[in-house]
Order: sequence, then structure tokens, then C-alpha cells
Amino acid sequence: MTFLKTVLILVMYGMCISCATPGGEPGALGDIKPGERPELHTDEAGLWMAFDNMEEKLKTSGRRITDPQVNHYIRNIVCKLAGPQCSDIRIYIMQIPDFNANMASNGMMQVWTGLILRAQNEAQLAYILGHEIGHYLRRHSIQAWRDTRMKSNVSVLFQIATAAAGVGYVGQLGHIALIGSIQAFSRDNEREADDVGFDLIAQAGYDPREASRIWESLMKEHAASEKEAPSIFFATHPPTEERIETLTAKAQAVTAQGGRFFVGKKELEAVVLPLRASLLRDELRRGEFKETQILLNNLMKNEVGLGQIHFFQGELHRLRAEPDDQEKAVVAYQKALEFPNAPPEAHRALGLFYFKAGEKPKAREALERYLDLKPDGDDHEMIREYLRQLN
Amino acid sequence: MRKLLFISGLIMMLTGCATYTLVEPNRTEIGDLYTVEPQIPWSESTSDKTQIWTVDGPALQELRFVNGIEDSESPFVGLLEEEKSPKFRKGMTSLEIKDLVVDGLSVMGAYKIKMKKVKPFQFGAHEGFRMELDYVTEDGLEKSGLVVGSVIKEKLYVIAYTGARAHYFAKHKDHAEKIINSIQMKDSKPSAE
Repeated sequence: MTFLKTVLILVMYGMCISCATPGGEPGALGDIKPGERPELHTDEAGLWMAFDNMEEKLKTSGRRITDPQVNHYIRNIVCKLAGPQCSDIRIYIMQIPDFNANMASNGMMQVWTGLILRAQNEAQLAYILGHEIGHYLRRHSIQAWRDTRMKSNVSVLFQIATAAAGVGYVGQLGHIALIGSIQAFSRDNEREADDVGFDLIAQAGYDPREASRIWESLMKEHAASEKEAPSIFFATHPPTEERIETLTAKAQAVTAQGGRFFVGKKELEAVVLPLRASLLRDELRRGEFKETQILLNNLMKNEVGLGQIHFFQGELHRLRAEPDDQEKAVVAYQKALEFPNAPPEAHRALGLFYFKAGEKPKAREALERYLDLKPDGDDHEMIREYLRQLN
Repeated sequence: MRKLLFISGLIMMLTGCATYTLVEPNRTEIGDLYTVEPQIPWSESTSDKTQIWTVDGPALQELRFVNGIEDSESPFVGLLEEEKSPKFRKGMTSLEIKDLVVDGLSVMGAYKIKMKKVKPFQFGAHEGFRMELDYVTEDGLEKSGLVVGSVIKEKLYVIAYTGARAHYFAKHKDHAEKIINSIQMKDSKPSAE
């Protein structure tokens, strides 16, 4: 049914656009000004209306993360970058484990949790947000829409719908992914957003070298996945060598002038760590184990919360269940327990492994330890039943 | 091939091919393993290893029987893309199966899942688990669920009653409880009822 709803939205969207009087030819448009709304008779107003309707759904979506700390943190970054436009931007942090952020022409910005988990510091996160703000400031949505209408008119509705289906999201993400797929900007738009995003982070004092680094990480993860269909962000923002080279050269020019640049590794960690177990669980549920392995490798290099990372390494092996994965899972759980911050669930996972293997003393010890650490866990009655069977 | 399946699925949705039959409130076979007492009349749709019963429509409340899932197969077949479907492994403990169900619900669009009352459960003559949970859908609809499951002869059996928390879940929860408690394995003698 979600797909049908999506098609319906698209048809309504097309109707609303076609009813609007064309407000101008495709081409360079002036930057959006603080507080500006398009004239009601324009096609841009029609596009805004479609995004306003989509935004209403985001407000009540079960995916929306309402945690005040992370919302406050992201808003602060956006305001540092967007300056006077900050109050025109509404941020929706969505519980979607893929790497993505997007911004619609009406000021609706989505930040997916997969981006928050993957950014290695605040400067990297700021660069992606700055890039999206670049699309907004330069009015790329309406440019892309006019270009697309010029090229294929009505048939584009079907093409957009099927393109969205091709990236495998429509069934589960519906209109949320649609917003991103509509905004498949031209290469020129992407270059422009790169430039704006880069300038915004440089002006805000962030380390500009982090801009190319996050694209490099994304490229490595995608290369590891060997998937035919790219992730939605990768599909709409191809991280080409040219893009990375350009950003690297620009960063060298800025840093050559000297000065202090803010990276913000600890600041991002302070916000992400309380959410990280939940984000990593969502990440594993994607079933993209090769991509997740790259992510875990990166997180291990950061050396923060290693007990938790080794536990999720074990979970990756347990869920993937390839030959030798059980043994690898046990090694990872044991490794996790070498760190003081290991989650109690590492004891539980080991206990269940020993329980199945018939290693009763080890199973009893691990499950009792889990109960000691988490006596009120939602599964305590089940654990007590296993212990009863072990006695 | 996946696109072909997708288009086929779309055509099936558009043609409204889900057909319902009436389940009378007499002891009824579920799959080929057990029977239950339906308590009230339900509308049933079936597909492969799944039977779905509903009174007001599956979007509002449904009682889903998933029958005989084999090793490396997903209990969410038909609901999720193959590669995103968590798989049942025959050596799984009841707790791991509980986690598998939660993972699948999450991938299907259940958010802010709150687990309640996870406990051992006697699934007919077999050990299993029972849990209650609350969650929110992508559209923001608050739902509740009651799930029991067990591994019998190395195959997974799950019964999940879910519904909109406002009115529809509570409306037939007692019936769902009685149905779950009426499980009787076909190869066992009937108990006093």
C-alpha cells in the first residue's frame, strides 16, 4: 500500500505543478533569501506545497528521533552554517540506518541516523549538512524539477517512481525516500553544492580537510558492498574521484594560509555514544554485512567504546551465520568483555552460545553474570528459565 | 528478476487478489501441526506458510500464524526483501527467536519498540516464548502486539496478534489469548477443555 500511496502523492504532485503558472525558464536563479516564500502563482510554490505535504507526514512519523540532545546538537551545526537562514530550516532526524541527508526547497531538512553514525567527527557531519544547505540556498530543487519537466514532462512521474523503487526503498520508506529521489541533482548542481558546503564549513571554522574524507569513506563502504543498486545517497551524490580531488585541493589552499581548524571528534562522540547501541542494532538489521564491517573497522580505529564495538562485531558474525562465524562471534564477545564498557549483552550472547553447546558451567556463569548486571532486563524471566534448566 | 517479482506484486495489489474466507468458531487446523479454538468468526487469508485472521481488516488488527519455517528461511517471507529478511537458524534459542521477531518487525517499519513481559511459554506441548510489545509505525500509528513462538521438529512456528493500540488491539486481545492458549498439537490427545 505504501507504494500506491507514493504513486498517489506523485500524481497529486504532478497535478499541483501542472496547475501552477510557469514562473520562469530553467536556468540560474537567485539565492533564496531569509524568510522568502515563492509567489503563489509560480511552479516553485507548487513544489513547496508538495514538500509541505510531505513534511506533515514526517512530523508524526514513527521514524522521527525526538531525543532533545541530538536535535539540539544538529540544529546548532546547521545554524552555524546557515546563519540568517537558520530559522527557515526545520530539521527532522529520521531513524533510517543508511547514509543520507537531504533538504527540500521549503526548508525541510532530513538527517538520517546512518549519516550520524558514520560521520567520524563534527566537521564531516557539518560538511554534508553544508552541502545540503547549498542545494537549498541555490534553489536546486526547482531547477531540477524544471529541467526534468523540460526533458520528459508527464512520463517523468513514472520514471521517478520506478527509480525510487530501483533503489529498493519505496516499500519501506515511501515518501521519505521519494523526497531524496526527486532531488537527483545535475552534476553542475552537485559541484555548486560542494562549493557552497565547503565555503560554509570553512567560514564556520571547521577543518576543511574533512570534506573529502567523508566522501572517501563512503566510496570505500560502497566498494565493499558489491551491490548492484547503490544506496540512495550514493545514487544521488556520486562520490567521484574528481569530486574528492577538487575538495582536497580547496582544503589545501585554505589550510596553507594557516590558522586553527575545528574537527569536533569528542563533541560528536558525546552526542552519538548514548545512541550508538541502538544505531548499530539498526545498522545490522540492514543485512548489508560487508558495508557494516567497513563501518565497524572505522569505529574500531576511533578506539571509543571498544567493548560495544567488539560486541556488535560478534553480533555481525552471529547474524551472518556463514561457516566459522559462530567461532568468530565467540571470540568477538570474549574480546568485548576485556573492556570495562562492554555491554551486559555480551555475557548473554556467550551464555546462550554455551547453553546451545551444552557447556553448562560456562553457560551458567555467563548468564548469571548477565542477570547480575541487568536484573530488570526485559528478558530476565527467560534467562532464569535457562538457568533453571542448567541446574 | 527482482523487478519482475516487484511488478507481479504490484499487479496483484492492484487487482486486489487477496481473498478472504470465513473461519467458523469451531476448532480449526493451523498448518499441518496443530489446531486452535477461534472463539469468534474471523476472516482468513492464506499464503504459503502464513495464515492471517482479522475482524476489522489487517491494517487495524490481525492474528498471524507463521507455520513451519525451515533452517535459513525467513518468517517474514513475502513481507521483506530476501536480503533484508532475518533468517531462522535451527539451533536458535527462544530468546534468539524473540530477537529475530523484533528485528523483522523493525525492518518492516516498527519503531520505538518497547518489549514487555518476555517469558517462557508452553506452545502446545513444546517450550517456547511469549512477549508483549508496543511500537509505532512509520505513519505514526501506535500499535501493540502479543507474540508467541516455538521451534518444533527443527521448524519455527510463530503466532503474532497485532493491532492499533487505540481500540482495535484491545477489542480482540482476549480472544487472541484464548486462541493461543487453546493450541493443541495434532499428534497429541485432546486435553480437557
